[in-house]
Amino acid sequence: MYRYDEFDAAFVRERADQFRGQVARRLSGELTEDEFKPLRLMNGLYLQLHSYMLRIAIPYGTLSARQVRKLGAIERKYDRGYGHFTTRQNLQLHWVQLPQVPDILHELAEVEMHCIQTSGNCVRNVTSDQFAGASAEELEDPRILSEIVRQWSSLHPEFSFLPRKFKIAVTASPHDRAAIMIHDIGIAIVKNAAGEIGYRVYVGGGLGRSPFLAQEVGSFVAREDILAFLEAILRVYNEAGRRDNIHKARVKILVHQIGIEDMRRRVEKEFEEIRKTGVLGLPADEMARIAAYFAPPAFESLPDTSPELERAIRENADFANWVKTNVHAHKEPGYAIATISLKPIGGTPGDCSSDQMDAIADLMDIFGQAEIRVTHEQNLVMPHMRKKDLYALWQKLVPLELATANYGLITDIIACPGLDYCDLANARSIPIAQAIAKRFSDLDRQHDLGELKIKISGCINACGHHHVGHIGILGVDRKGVENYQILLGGSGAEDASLGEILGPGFDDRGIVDAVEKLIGTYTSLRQNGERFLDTYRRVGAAPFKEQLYAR
Amino acid sequence: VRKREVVAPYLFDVRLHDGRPVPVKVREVIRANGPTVRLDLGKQAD
Repeated sequence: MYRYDEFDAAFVRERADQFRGQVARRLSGELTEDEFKPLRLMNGLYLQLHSYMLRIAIPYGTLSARQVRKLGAIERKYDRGYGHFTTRQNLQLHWVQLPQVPDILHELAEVEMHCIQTSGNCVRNVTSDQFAGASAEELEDPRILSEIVRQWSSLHPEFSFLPRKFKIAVTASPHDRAAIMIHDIGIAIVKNAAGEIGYRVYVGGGLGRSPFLAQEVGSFVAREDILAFLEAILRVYNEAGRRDNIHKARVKILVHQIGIEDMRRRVEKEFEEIRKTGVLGLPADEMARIAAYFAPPAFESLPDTSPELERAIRENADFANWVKTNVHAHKEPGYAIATISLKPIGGTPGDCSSDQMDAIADLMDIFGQAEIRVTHEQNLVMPHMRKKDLYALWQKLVPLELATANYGLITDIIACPGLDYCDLANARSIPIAQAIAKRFSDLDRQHDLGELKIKISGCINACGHHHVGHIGILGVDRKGVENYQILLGGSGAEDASLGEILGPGFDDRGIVDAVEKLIGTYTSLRQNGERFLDTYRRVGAAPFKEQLYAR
Repeated sequence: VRKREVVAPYLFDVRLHDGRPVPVKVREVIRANGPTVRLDLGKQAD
């Protein structure tokens, strides 16, 4: 993984020092909250319902064991012994005390981490595919470009005060696990007819109050031109994006208002101007230098089948179930990708305790994992597991409550923190996720239902990605009472689509019964091998509405 | 606010319960008590 150079390390330390001074001025009364707010937001520090919340950047979701251990230690020392992994692969601490935040930033700097650009109207944490470097289907490791984009966009003087926040995601696989179509810029690494690797660039995706899928703005951008092309998009947005209305300030609104053709024309014009200067060309040797940080580990030469694994699958049904859902094919024979579910039945999606963090770091050491990945679906991934070690890993995950066999199933629910923590929320998300997971906890039933993505947000800002859930749930405030609307037919994957609101909402008890009815409708209508989403797309909303609202 | 003991105060609806004002809306109930999914945290745990 990428390692800080002297400049990076010094800068992050100095930034923590600088924030220490700002906090001291706030605590002494020299700064009011209004004066302090833009300074704290530059360091990912929000004010939420119960406390300050600190959002820690995890570039493209990659963490070393040392970093995992440090995060666990910080959770224990400065917070309440747990953290919350988010849909942008970050980690949030929900109980930090302002006087201690500078110390947290210094401790993060010790392990090459920070909170810079996790808030504010700038380019946020670049996200990517959690199977990067391990998947057989990818063209190359998407984290190489992600890191280059991270470096280009970090403290970019021209783009530190954009009209609104800006999110970029990168994938290199035909199966999109990075949800690129719901990002301000989505980048797909592709190959052209001549066999050259380049980039298909999408712009204007995003959820929130006005959801849009991204549209293609560049069909094949050459490697050396990618930064110039991204710079062109950001320049067009920075100049033409609306600053008069926060709800219309995202690039998706600009693209919607001027149209993708005009957007392409503007970007192409700017791109040509930038390219003429030659300043932003990406040299091959620099690309190679960054790529070296993401060199694959020294894989052993192993047979692809493992007798140890096959025997354990035969002898232990629980393990077999876990393998069925949480283990995926690896590009190297004898290896596999293992997903650690942070969705225990009845637990809080994405939460990870400091004890679990410590244990995961130990498991990384035991099983030779130099890094672990955070997924946008709020799980963790061991990317390079030897197949023969999978049973031993699973045995160690079980007592840690990290072995739930539900990846991609109905209980693998995305949920934002919601009104239990978030100042913006209108309704709670976590208890709804917990109640649905308990209702559908029977594993045989989950397997029978197959891939089914439920995504829950506690407000219109859509941190829980409800627009792209096969079943999306949006919590709203209805005359002071929590109410939950249902959307059907969304997808954040390569078959991206936005869900449509089905009808009137339900209270916090009724929503679980409503999901049960939707599932019943699906099972009565599905044809061979159809997922919930496939059935919905084939039959439309009518039969679901009929069952849900029948009197 | 001047003593820096309170940050970002705002007005919200209350009702009287046993002669004491208690919040009406869920938001302020949760803010006053703590997360409903972690009863060991927040003021409710004091």
